Amino acid sequence: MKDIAKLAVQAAVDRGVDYADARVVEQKDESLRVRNGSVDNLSSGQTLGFGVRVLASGAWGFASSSRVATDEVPKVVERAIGIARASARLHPNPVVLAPVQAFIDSYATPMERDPWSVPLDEKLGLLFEADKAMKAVGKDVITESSLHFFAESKVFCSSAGSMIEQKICESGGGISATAVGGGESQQRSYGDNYAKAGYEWIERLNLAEQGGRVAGEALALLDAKQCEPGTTTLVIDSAQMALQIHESCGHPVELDRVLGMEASFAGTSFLTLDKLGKFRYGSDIVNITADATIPGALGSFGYDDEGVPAQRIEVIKQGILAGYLTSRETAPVLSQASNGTMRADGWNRIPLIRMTNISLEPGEGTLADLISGVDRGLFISRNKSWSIDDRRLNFQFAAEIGWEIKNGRLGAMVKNPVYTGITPEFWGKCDGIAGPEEWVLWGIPNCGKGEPMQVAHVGHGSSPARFHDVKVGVGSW
Amino acid sequence: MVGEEKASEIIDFVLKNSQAEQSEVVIMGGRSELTRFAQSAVHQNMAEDNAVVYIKVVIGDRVGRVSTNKLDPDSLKATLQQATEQARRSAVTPHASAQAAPSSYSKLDTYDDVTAAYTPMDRVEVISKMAAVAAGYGFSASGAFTTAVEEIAVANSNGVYGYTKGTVTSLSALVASDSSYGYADAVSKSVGDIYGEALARTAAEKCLNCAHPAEVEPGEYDVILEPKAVATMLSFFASLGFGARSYQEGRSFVSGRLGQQIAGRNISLWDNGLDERGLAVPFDFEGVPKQRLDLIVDGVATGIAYDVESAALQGKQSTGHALPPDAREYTSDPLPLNLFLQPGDSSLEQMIGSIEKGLLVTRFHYTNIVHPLKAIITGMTRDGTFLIENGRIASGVKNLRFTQSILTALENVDMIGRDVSLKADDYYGASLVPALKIRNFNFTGVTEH
Repeated sequence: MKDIAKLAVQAAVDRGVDYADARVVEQKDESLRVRNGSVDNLSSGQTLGFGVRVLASGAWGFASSSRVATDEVPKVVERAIGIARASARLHPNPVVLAPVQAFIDSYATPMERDPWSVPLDEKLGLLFEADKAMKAVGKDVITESSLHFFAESKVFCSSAGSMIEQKICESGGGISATAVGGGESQQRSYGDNYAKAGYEWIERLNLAEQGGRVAGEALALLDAKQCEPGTTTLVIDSAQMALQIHESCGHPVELDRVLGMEASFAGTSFLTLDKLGKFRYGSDIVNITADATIPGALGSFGYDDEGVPAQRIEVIKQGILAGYLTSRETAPVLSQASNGTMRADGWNRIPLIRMTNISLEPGEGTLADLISGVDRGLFISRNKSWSIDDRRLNFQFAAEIGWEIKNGRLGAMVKNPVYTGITPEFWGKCDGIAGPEEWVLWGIPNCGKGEPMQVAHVGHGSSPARFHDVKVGVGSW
Repeated sequence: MVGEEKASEIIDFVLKNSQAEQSEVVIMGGRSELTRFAQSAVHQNMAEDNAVVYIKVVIGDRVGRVSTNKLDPDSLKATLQQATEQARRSAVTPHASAQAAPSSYSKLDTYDDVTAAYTPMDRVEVISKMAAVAAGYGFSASGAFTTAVEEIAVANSNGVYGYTKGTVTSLSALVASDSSYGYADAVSKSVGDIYGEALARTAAEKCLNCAHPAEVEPGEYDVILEPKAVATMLSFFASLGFGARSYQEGRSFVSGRLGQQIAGRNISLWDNGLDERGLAVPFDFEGVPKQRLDLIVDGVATGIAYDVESAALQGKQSTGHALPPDAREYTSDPLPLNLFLQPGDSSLEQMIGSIEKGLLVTRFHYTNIVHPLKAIITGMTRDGTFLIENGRIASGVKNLRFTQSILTALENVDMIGRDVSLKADDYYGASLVPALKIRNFNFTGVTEH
């Protein structure tokens, strides 16, 4: 793999490009799903190829091929250069890259048990056990249990002098129960959490232990009261906070979005450059970081796909916009070096600015403390629905389940808890964040961005948090 | 991509070497090129060439599925071995042994030589002209221009064999001013059908007319959804309601209501992968011939989409709606992906003229499901939302959030456009749909732009 990458970069340099990098990537994955007591999916796959990115005449070109062979390299390089020359026809401002240090290095996900060494019987056995636990509570409940594993071996070589090898392993799994009856359908789930780790992560999820509760709550939701429309104090669990952070903070601090590069598809961002260092994004207790160095977190890695080392930066500091996720192309706009967030989802895609692990730093106290401070409100758990506008301002999210809060205590179960707001107004109403003991790191394997669509694996850590005066119960039911 | 000869060789090799009771091979190959532009400059420009072989083997009622893009004999043998081993060690999947039978396929005009030969420079030339149109208004243009050749080969040990090759191209135009956006797009099998400057002009006019948008209060409005928004809504409608698994499990709004009125009598919706006005394909990913499937006729639910496995489970015949093998990781529900909505007789001007106070929506953004059984979805409007007053476009308005049951919306369709447009789905396939005028569409929020 190293030889192909080196050959490609040298061939591009010999052709006089301003810059070149090449990635040779081999990925494999395995998916298992048990549904209603039967195997619904057992599939695996592998893909191998290389991609060459060149900067020529001040513009980008990228070409890729699944044929990893020395005689294929010149053709792909030639194609990439041809594409760059075409790009240059409509590229009035030549790309200027922030400087980067050259690295000769390797990185590997720390893991205790290689998922591919675990017998299939053991994996299926775990899923059947979880399925049985759910069915024991409700035989008519629609049950699903799933595991996913992903491994990547990647070589990055650049004309800046880097040669970096990375070996990544990811594991994740979850269960869900859907109850249907009386014109209503309701789902509860557990897990769906991914980590850069081996099979030990799956064992720690204890999927079967949660099966009974999950199925029971799905059934109970059928008869629960509808979330009433109004404005209330909302306490949000860690899992739903992960989604809240992802959509309303993670995406808007991507500098390519801010600069309009994703305008026609995913949109832009309300966090425009003039706001850096002064815009009040949230209340004083809101501190959000982007950290690609957290061991085991799904958004962690050694180096990004421009050869920039993983790092931790402040995004929101005491409620004020403090930083963006950047690349070598975009960072010079801020007179900065890249903070290393460029990732491609395979050999056949160009790297884009992607979230790493975007986390709300913990506050103090417990979830119980947050709830005890509420006279009337709502506690909600786990995401069900999500939508946000093209500048990441107007959002509407829904959780799977809610409970009324009355006089500091949880009360009746509530179904379809939908809430909505405008991002900085909402974060400005954050008046409580639970402490480190309640902080959970969530791995989300399906963050979509770009054309063609790329899927990134990202992480979000959060404790439960409390927001006052939030609009809930949207829609006609 | 590999071409038919090589695809046939790979299929023969796998089927001959398989020791399983049943085997199935799908090859999805292609050569795809994409040029993205933003603020009237090309900022991403790429090409890829790939082919993936998906092998499914069945031993008893146990299934193994493995894919690879390594096409040499040793890799294919190893992949086959892996699939066989998986099947041997797996547990039962009901009706996994159901298999498509050999069929003859329609000859479809799916390939355009000019599109296949289109170059990066060709695309940039079109984009340059679009940028010039936007500049003429004092605006900038963003978007993406794709040209691709796609191939699908399907075969099984029961004698099914099919190979098809097609081209597809899509072009989007987002034109931006300091205070507004406008949008237009097109998709076709042929670049000859794509008029970049016209798209840019449409987007620029929307942008111009939407400048300094006013704010309107959320609430129920008469609304005109242009075809892009209609296609998004119907794509959710089809996936929530008409898959065989959802239907059987009671998770679909059609469950228990087949043969009943579920939409207005003026609504007829069908799926037809053979209709060359859409992105046609002769067979599905199990090798079952595509056919017309009526989903709603005069407002009555009439059809459910089946693949071979779900059909066997429910004692039905496949309707040719098996999804690509890589979709199995996410769902085992077959889906209609080539939607057609019966056009009406109204022009867009007539629709606007009929509204005393209402809204016109160019497209939706980040639409998502709120409640599947009630078909409630939410999303934002973007890139051209207009206030209609007294039968005329009064002004652009700030984008609104809607939270709306699609079932209710389809009961409230007052007028249907006479012109149809092909609009691509985010996932796979495309819908040929007209604009709709809908009563009491529920807008539940507003944003700042």
